[in-house]
Amino acid sequence: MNSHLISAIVPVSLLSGWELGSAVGAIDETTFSRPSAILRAGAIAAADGSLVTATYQTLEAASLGLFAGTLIGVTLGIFLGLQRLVELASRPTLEMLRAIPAIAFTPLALLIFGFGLTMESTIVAYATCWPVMIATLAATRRIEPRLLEVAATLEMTAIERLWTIIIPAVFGRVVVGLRIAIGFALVVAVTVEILVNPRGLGYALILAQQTFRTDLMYALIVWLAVLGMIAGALSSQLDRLSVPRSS
Amino acid sequence: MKPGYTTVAAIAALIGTMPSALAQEPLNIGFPPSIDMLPAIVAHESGCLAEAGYASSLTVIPIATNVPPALLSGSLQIGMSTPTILLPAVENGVDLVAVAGATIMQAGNEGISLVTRPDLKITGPEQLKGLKVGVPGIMSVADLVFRKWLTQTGVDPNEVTFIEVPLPRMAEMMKSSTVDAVVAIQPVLGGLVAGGIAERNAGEFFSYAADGAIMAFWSASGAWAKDHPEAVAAFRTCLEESIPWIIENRDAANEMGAKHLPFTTNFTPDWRTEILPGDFDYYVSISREFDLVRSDIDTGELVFAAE
Repeated sequence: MNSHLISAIVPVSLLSGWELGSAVGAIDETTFSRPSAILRAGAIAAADGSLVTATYQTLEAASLGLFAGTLIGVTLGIFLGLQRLVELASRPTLEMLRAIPAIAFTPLALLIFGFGLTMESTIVAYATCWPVMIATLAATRRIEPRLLEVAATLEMTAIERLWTIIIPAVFGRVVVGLRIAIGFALVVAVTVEILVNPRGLGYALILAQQTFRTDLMYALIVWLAVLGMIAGALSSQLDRLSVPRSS
Repeated sequence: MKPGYTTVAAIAALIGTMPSALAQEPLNIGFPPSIDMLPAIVAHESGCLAEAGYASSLTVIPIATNVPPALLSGSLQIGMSTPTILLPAVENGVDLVAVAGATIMQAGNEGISLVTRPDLKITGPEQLKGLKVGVPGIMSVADLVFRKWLTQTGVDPNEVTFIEVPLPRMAEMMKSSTVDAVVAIQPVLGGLVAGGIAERNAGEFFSYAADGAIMAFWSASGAWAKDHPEAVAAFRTCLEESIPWIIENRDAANEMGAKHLPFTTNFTPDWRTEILPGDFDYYVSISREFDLVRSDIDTGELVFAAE
């Protein structure tokens, strides 16, 4: 039997049972909206543009934050990887900062930046810079010391050293860090929207809850799951960039 | 015409066609989804604020405690508040003031009430001993006034277990007997009773303990209010004009409300735009009684008065 058909058996059965249970009154629809109602709510939100707008806002903040976090993580990772003493001196502070959940900064970020893209993407950047920094730092330390000696002998500038030796050497590990960071970016963005930021899918979710629209709540949760799967699929494509090609 | 002149002419034409809103001062107003806020919605939708020279915008803020930081950061200029949000903030040095009233409690028109599980047949506060009561927010206005009612009727609040239950979750918490009673607010209140999930026979705690007390009001940062007294005055005027209009044109008002409040209700709160320092005396007293605040706050400093 086709493997796709086999893997569809469980979800189709569950959804059918759920729909039937709601139809006969065995399942309380005020808590568990039936699948057809969820689909309808999602379709209406898509048609009226609210789902598209909210999705764009969430992805905008997640992407911007991820970009900024990656830039900061790579820069910091390379700098600390090459400056052993500085890395040792800053290690306790960085370990402490790294242990603080990014979401804990939400009230502070709201006070400093107010509502909007800057606040949300700043928190996402904070969350995503650490895995990238750790991966970059580890990769930078593993650079063959003789390569750096050769660069010094050839009197290469810092930029030349960065471009021809350091970046190619750390790139694969940076991609691994980036894969982890991509997972954080969407989760953190949605959480900030649920907690404080009146924009995006998280805001739509909390508003749906506050106004008793459980069908729309479930539709948004399903949509977030789809976005998460797409993000996961995209990040697994990054593996191709990190694996060296054989000639 | 030389290219340089063409550019200048194009820019001048563009500026000339820009919407007049760009010349207006921004006035961002934030509030949780509540029917109490309808006058502000009408003030915006009717164009009253625009006519007064303000480019108003409305933002629904699901969690009311996010309003003060939004005011301080400049994301909002005016935001909904309650005494239990303002008093601790002011006690801790936050520069917030009340700029206009929103709603008051009036006996006979209670929009906040205690409802209980029908199987428990509760008809008075003494039967609440040992039970679990859900409140929309621990140390919120509803919670504090409820505790005051208990003490006034001879029940020790420590003999009742308080659980924070968001309004949308009250129905399922009652149905599953996770809580025995909830302090609910319209329209959830009406829905629970109409759906047979709860009874409203234990007495009207809010009007008993705090008849005539302010429940919600509009706030701003003190610095902003001091720099924009005309904006505060315009906001108050538009609210005052909106209230009688809403009462006369409730269907049209509900249509305006539906753009920002994803529910409709025909419950009419007691709206009151005026706000006085004395409105906070009761709340300072009960806030101290139940340890929400530690000091005697000078209520004279809580209400913005244009110089």
